[in-house]
Amino acid sequence: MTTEIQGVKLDEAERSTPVLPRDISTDELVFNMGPQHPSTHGVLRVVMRTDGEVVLGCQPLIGNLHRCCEKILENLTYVQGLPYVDRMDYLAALNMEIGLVLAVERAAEIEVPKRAQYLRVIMCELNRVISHLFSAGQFGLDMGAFTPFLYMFREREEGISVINEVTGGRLLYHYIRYGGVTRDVSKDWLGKVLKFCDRVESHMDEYNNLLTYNHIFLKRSAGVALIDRETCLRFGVTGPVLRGAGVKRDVRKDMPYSSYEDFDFDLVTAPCDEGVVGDAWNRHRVRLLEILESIRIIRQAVEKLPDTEIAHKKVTRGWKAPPGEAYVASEAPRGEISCYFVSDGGKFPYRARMRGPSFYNISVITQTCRGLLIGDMIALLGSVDITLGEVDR
Amino acid sequence: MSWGATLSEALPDAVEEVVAEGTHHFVRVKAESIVEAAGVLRDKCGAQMLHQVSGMDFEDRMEVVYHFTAIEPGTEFMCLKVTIGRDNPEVPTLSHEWEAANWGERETWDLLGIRFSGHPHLYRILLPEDWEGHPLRKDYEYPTEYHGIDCTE
Repeated sequence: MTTEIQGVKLDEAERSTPVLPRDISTDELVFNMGPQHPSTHGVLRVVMRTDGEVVLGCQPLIGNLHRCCEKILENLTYVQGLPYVDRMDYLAALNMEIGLVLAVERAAEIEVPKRAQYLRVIMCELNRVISHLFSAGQFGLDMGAFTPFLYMFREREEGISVINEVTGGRLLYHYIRYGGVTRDVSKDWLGKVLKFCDRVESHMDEYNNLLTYNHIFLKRSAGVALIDRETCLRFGVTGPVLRGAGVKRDVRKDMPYSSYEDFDFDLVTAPCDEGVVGDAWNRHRVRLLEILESIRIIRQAVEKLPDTEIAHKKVTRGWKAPPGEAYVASEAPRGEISCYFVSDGGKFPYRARMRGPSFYNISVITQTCRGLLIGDMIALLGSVDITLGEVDR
Repeated sequence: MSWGATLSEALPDAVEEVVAEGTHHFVRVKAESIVEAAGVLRDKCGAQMLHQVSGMDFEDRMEVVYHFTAIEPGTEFMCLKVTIGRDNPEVPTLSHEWEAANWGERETWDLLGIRFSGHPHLYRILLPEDWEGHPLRKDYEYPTEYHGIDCTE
């Protein structure tokens, strides 16, 4: 049966098994959360069906930020189109750029010089660190911990300044280009990167003491909002949510791109020193541990940075990709971004289908919400960590 | 590309083409056999996750492209393509076996107008319910106004 409220059709057909025992269930109430609710991290509207405090079902209504990025890419030349993908996940713009660039390079068979590959790795990992700092802090904020959010923003701000120095942007960079990167880096800057890494690492205990192992935070997140392995795989969930459910999957390890095979790092899965595998706490913990792994990668990349050119082939105005297609995935902070790129040999891409990891990650809440308390819905949304710009593209 | 051979062995009538060269490997199957083909990938080739559903408009035909993936080191994407006519395009849904197809197919319907028969909830997902047309079609005409909002430049 499809219910309809305010013109919104709710899909409850196959999920109509009862959540509460019949003798304690009361009247059902359907109400609306968002699109301006602070914990929805953007403009997300969730229509929930509840019985008292218990959520029976929900339907996320997305599309408020939709600008049809794919159509924009089809109507611009290669060089013009690239800055638009930055706007998908504005908290990890470099990871979005590399998603598109890798697919085009694979289809056009462009070789990228080693130094450019390493610079991409440094930049993407820096972006992952600042994005995870934001996500972890934001999750703490959702759970009622205001201070750790400010502490993490302090380090994030420094990370942004480090990237800003080379790319010229604070959030949206347009740094990675087809065939390489735009600007080379100096020895001085590499020193700043290492200093930033040391600083984040030295503050990690502080974050853990303040937030991760905080008693209230543990009560709110450990064992709450379970997403198990099977559910993750069925819904196409990737990234820290999937690894938080104990699945060993990381595109950087499984299908290495941009020289990730040169670096020694561990794949973080749910550590489970508190809570259970697949709960909100483990997803948060995976993010913090991934920051440390990213720092490990950055240090190795800075140390081994080869001395070659930074852009092999200048893809300039009027460049045309030869006819062909490719599908390449890469690991963004929120999951696997991939692009199915098809070229017909013209000066515009024929089709660039972007996979937004958050799009699939958020679809899982339609199932996981069942039986949660309304307050735990916030833990679910916060720990899945979506960026609406990328859900809606 | 061992999965292509497995697929054409298991479903010789359904497989139309196996492309194992170039930068993108795929198997083209008949639209009505997409559910069985995906089942073979899951049971015999280790596909565990539907990674992406993409729609394509080639002006004379339409395509739906599915990418599957296994969860293991050194894996490659397994790609199935189906080709359908441009007037009244319709493909059986995968959403009963692969929950990820639920939203992926809704998006494909929304932006390209490809119907998925048997889909439990095939409504627009990104665009408003009263939007006219499907923007990613190559012959899409841009609206001039929406509810009194001027959309021309």
